[in-house]
Amino acid sequence: MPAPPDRRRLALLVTPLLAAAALALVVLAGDVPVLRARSLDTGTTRAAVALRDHVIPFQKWGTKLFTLPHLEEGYDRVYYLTQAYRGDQREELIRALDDALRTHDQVDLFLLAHTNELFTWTGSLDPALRRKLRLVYNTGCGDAWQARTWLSLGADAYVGHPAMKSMSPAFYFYFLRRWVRGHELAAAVDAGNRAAARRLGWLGLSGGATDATAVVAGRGDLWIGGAP
Amino acid sequence: MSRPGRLVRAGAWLARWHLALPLAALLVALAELAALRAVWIFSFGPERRIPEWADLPLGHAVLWGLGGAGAVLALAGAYRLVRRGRAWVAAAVVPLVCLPVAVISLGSLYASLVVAAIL
Repeated sequence: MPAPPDRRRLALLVTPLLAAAALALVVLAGDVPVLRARSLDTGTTRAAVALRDHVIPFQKWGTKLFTLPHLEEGYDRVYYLTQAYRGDQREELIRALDDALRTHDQVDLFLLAHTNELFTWTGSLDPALRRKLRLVYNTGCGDAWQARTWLSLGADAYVGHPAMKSMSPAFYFYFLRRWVRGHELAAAVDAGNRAAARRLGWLGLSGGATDATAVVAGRGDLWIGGAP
Repeated sequence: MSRPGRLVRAGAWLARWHLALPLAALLVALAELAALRAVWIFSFGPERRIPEWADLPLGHAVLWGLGGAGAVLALAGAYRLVRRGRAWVAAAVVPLVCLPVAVISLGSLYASLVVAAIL
């Protein structure tokens, strides 16, 4: 069998092109790097409380892998809880919220849970402390209706999903990265909605009941550092 | 022929066709998926088998270790195949094996940077 010719130049051309094409596909399917919009050093203290509901191990691990480093980037203290069964972590969530509200100027709450009524858990919190709740984000399908409830409980803004089979994680991936880097809430939600709809559109999943769209109630001009 | 003999012959055949690196890249990509699955099962499966502090470092270690190895093997395999291999073999294996493995492997590195809040 005769040896094939040495195609060194072609190989030197094809290999970097292959690497570039692979990287381009990765970035296209994911997201471009998000830069910090402004300094997060505002002189106030802020904490985040996050609860992941009882789902399969991959989802619990993936949520923690993504959420925890981002929250730690943007907040002075993070309380991250994962349920081991339905209804788990009730006392822990209340304790975390109580501690966060007592010891920080602002507290954001991330409810990374399927359709839920977790607002019922916060009733025992001191109403005066609850006024320090700033953003509440809820991934729950169809939980956008809770906006008025959360705002009346003391939150400044609530972000929820109206669709009954919402692809909320697609939105959350784009939203959280912008929120913790100082983007204004309404702008971060808008960017998250657009980016998620685009990707879901490629898979034929955007629109209707599976829509990942989130809506903001309350102060859309908030940012992670506070209000303007 | 004995089993070691068959393995040697298979290795020689892969080397002659310049397919050893693409195959190794594919195996590393599959091993990465299996290792990631092990990490999340050991973290959040019915019984926790690794300490809680290890959930994230182990995941990133797999993404970087096996992702980096897969990327290097896929790109080196494509280089070698295009340079020395038969044209029709390169035309089939580079887009069907090297590119997908490169996407998975570079995707791992990129995902690690994204989820670690660096990008």
